[in-house]
Amino acid sequence: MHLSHPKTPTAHASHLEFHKLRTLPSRSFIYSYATLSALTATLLVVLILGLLAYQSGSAIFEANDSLLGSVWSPAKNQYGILPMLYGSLIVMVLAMGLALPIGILTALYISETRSETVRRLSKTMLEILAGIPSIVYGLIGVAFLSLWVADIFYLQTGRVILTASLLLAIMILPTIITLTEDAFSNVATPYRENAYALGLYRFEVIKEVILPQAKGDVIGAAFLALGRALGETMAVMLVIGSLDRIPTPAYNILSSAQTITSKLGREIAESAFGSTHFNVLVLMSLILVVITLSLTGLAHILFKSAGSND
Amino acid sequence: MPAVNLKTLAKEFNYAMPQTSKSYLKLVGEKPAETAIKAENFSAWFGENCVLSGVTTQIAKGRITCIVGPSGSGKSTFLRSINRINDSVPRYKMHGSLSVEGLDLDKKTSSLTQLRAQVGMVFQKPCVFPRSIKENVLFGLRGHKISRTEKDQIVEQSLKSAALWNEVHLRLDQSATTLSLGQQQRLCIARALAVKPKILLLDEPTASVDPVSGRSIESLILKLKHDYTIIMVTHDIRQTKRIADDIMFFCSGALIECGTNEFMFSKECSEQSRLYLDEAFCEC
Amino acid sequence: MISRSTQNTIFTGLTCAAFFICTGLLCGLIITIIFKGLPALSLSFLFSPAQDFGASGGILYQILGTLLMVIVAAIFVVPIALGSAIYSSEYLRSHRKKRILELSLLALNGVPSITFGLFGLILFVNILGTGISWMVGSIILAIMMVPTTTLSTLQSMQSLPMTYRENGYALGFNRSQVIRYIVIPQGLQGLVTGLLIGLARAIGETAPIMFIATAFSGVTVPISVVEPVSTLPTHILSLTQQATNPDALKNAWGASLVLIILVFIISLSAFYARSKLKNLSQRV
Repeated sequence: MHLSHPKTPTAHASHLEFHKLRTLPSRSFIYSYATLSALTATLLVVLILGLLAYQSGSAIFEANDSLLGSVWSPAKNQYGILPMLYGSLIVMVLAMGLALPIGILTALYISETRSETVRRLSKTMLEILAGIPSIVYGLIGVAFLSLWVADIFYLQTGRVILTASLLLAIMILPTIITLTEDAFSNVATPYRENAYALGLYRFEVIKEVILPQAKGDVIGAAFLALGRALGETMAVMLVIGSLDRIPTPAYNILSSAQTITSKLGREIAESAFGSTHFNVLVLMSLILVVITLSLTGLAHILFKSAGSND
Repeated sequence: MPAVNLKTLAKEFNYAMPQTSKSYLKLVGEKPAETAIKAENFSAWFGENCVLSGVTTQIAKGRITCIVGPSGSGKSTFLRSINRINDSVPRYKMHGSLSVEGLDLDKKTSSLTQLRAQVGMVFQKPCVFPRSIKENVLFGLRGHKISRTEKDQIVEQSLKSAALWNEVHLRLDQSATTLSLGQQQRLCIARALAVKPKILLLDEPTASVDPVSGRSIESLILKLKHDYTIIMVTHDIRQTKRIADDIMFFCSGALIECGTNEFMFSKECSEQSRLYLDEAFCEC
Repeated sequence: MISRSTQNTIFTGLTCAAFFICTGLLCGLIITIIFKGLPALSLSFLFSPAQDFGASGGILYQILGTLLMVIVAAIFVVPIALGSAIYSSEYLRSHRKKRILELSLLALNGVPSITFGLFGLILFVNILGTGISWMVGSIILAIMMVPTTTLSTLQSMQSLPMTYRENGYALGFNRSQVIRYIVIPQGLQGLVTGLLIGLARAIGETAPIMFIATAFSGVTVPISVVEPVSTLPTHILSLTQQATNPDALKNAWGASLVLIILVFIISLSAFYARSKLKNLSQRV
């Protein structure tokens, strides 16, 4: 049979149908559905930020003078957020200072030993570590770490800045190790081989070749980990001591303090919706989100620029 | 020199090597020079994959030895085993002995580093570090205590030996990545020379550069022969004929045959080698 | 001046030490949780309701509440993640829009978990007047799972070679049909993997749900969607806050162990899904 015979009814029909298929509007059901979902995802971010900004806007007017002070006392209409900002900052910096060196050294061990077994085992180990929920870390902090800190430094309570920082350092280690290890492993093998072939020691190869090449990614990883540390709530809330004061002297890490997240976790349920107290808490949350998102954004810019260098 | 003489000479100097699993190995040459590298029953694996089996040979000092063979024949692995750069490849294992300049190696890092300082290596793809030309040349000397003037001397000397000085001496502080590929490859050679090695390993040094740069690298290699033992992997048979003193022919992980340039391109060598060297065709 | 090899040894020692500190930490954590949790575990602990604010009794309703919330969250997240991934991989041609979608997903991923709780409190509990409800908790958890799930689905969709789509069009499929028969099957593996990874994270979340979806005591199986439930993480929180009571602490460890076992089961399924579910393009 001549297949393309125009007068054969079947051929004619299929030809028609083909034509119909081709001109079917592209704005089909799937298109609208997909667009809607993507819009939802994008709008959620706008909605979250907008709602927080809207709710916290009034806080600035209602608590204007006291906001930048260091006294927190809703009963006296004093809403100083400095203690919380300071607490978040010092806990974050300390945790980072502890976790970053250990994390980078561990990542170097994993990547430069160049053993598949070590790498696979470590990755599994890190996934397990990252899978432990933060509330469990909090439990460990309360049941062990804070008691140890109290014993070692003869403190009345072990719920102090140092404890929170230690706990947080353990919690961000997996992020740091995973990301920096990837960065080190991604340094092209020829660089490594050329450097080794010149008779350099492993230490020198790492210092002169691996670290400079992976610098962008490592800094990115650090920013991302900072964001995580800043946003962590449960574990910190349980071991920070919840004291709304800047410690005296300010570097006294053996004193209780308060971070933004722990403040939010403790007081949101207590404050009435719409009150100045509540709105100031929302404002703090907005500050937290803005800082975290900037850190995350910076991290991804660094990852991107490091990636395009190759 | 007539080929027949070569064979008798080989017997005379007891230069022939023991039996390998693959075929009788003939190493035929002139009066043997001092040995730079000695392999005895050397085998290598990547995981379960045997890539080199029972290689036994000697490589003479102060000559250019070209290693030829089809892709996947293990020639690069052999070259990379000489300075133990393969050690860092995951799942790489080796067995047998391979001594370089009389250095018997254990796994200790310090002796590995010593070995690598004596054995320079240039890879197929030029790989310069994203730093200045000068820093690249001095890269292998990091950690050494050297004065500024000495450094300048070394840079000049190395770049001159690598025939690159005239092209770059006015822009030593520019990034090395701005150089052309052929220049980068010569910079890699200069970088290897700055460490003052005794042996130079070249893994297809001309394969990724244009023919003109290739020829200049080739003539550079010929010049370097007077000061260094050069071992070179190449796919280019005409190039082998032009510059090799000795030729080693690898196939499927075994050293099939090795001998001087004249011998390997004569009718005396084995059928396999001749097929490969004449027609780049290999049955094994 | 320390010699180069000593420097190297010191450095190697340091990396080794760091590695073993990390390994030690992990082992310490796991062993602590197991040894502290095991004594509390029993069938009656798992299958009886909590009493005395959790200090005695079991965690039946906490387990049920947790599972209810995350399963409903998963049901919410699937259509959104699938749709966004299809949109980004099949319809979006503008680079700028793609970037916006990608950025908003990253932003959503970067928002601290407590902020999601605050968001839910403002929008649902107060503005929309739902009151404290497990459904709100599910919605918030779903929002938190969107980025992981979408990005994972998108990744596997984008790994589909263009030829598959072209062959689909060549068969006379229109775009919807290509998406239904070719792109979605390809994306399923990523969807399942991403969903499970998101679930493993969501199941352990406390901060976002503690003031919008849960109550600390007196909770049974919810009859309507606007009732609070109790979940494992919030239960552990309330028990931890009674840490001076040894019974409460013991039950906190038991609940933690159960929670971690749940997390591991989900993570293992994610691992299984990643390795066993085949993409369309990987099927033989």
